[in-house]
Amino acid sequence: MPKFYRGSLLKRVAAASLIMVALLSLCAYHQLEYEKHSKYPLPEKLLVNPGRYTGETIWIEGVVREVYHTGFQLLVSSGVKSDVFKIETNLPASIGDRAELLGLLGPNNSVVAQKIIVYEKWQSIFIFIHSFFVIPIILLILLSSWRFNFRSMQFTRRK
Amino acid sequence: MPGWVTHVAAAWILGKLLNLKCRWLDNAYIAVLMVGSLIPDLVKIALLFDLLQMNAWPFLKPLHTPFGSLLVAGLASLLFENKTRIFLLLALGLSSHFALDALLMHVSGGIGFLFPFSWSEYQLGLIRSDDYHAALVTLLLAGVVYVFHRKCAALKSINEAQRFPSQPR
Repeated sequence: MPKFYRGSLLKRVAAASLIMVALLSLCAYHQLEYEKHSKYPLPEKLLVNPGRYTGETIWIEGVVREVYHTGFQLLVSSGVKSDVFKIETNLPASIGDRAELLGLLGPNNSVVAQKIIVYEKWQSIFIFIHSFFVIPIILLILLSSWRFNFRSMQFTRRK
Repeated sequence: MPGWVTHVAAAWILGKLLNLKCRWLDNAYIAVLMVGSLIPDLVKIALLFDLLQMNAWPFLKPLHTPFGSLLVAGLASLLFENKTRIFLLLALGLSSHFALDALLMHVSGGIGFLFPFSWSEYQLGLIRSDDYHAALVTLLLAGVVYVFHRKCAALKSINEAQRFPSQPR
């Protein structure tokens, strides 16, 4: 590797290391502090012992599992834990839809929804699929104008 | 989030409009701008951890804040020769991402524009995140900008040809 590239590479590695440290510190700070700043009980805590939060306003997000005329059952998952909540609302929903809501937690995991958004299953899938196709297209557009030079470890413009 | 099609199309529109004033902002740089518009959604890496039944969202969430995204843009710009210009383009791209995401409607939360200095989150609550109309409108707008840009480029070349007619030998 020529001397010029080596010097520049060392500088860039040093700068990248500094930025990585800053980024990891930022992430670690959020991980450690977010519980203190959360307005509502965290889903992972809520799922461990929902009874503890009876009478409190909670925020949950999950998948509709069963629908009745007074509401629906919502399967909420967080990491390894998951639980079913009975949501009381007059908003229509279908099995497989996603819902996020703020509501008052009652006994036996019943929730009276105060604010709720239901995302239709097909729309969520549609957004996921068309977003997925953007990745190869963007890579193609980028690599048609830029080429990665392994000697200098940099993208250089194609002529 | 509005789909990535919306984000990328919005960045492309921004790039093409800026190209009318800044001639150096050609397709290669617009590609960088488009990449920048996806930087905040690196937070979606957490979805892979969801498959492993691990909750990585609290750790990765800062990537979806302006400060965290700017750090990622800084990191990415080190892979290019003209670092300042690339960093500015990536920053512009991610700004367009946050501008669009701020329009979204959630029952709680929003974007932590001031994180890590403040934990407040903001949202305008105008459109739902699964609303495909936003993508359609942006794509339609991209079509209009494409036609407008071509017309402007054609007019410019005609004007230049009139100002500097080729000399007979």
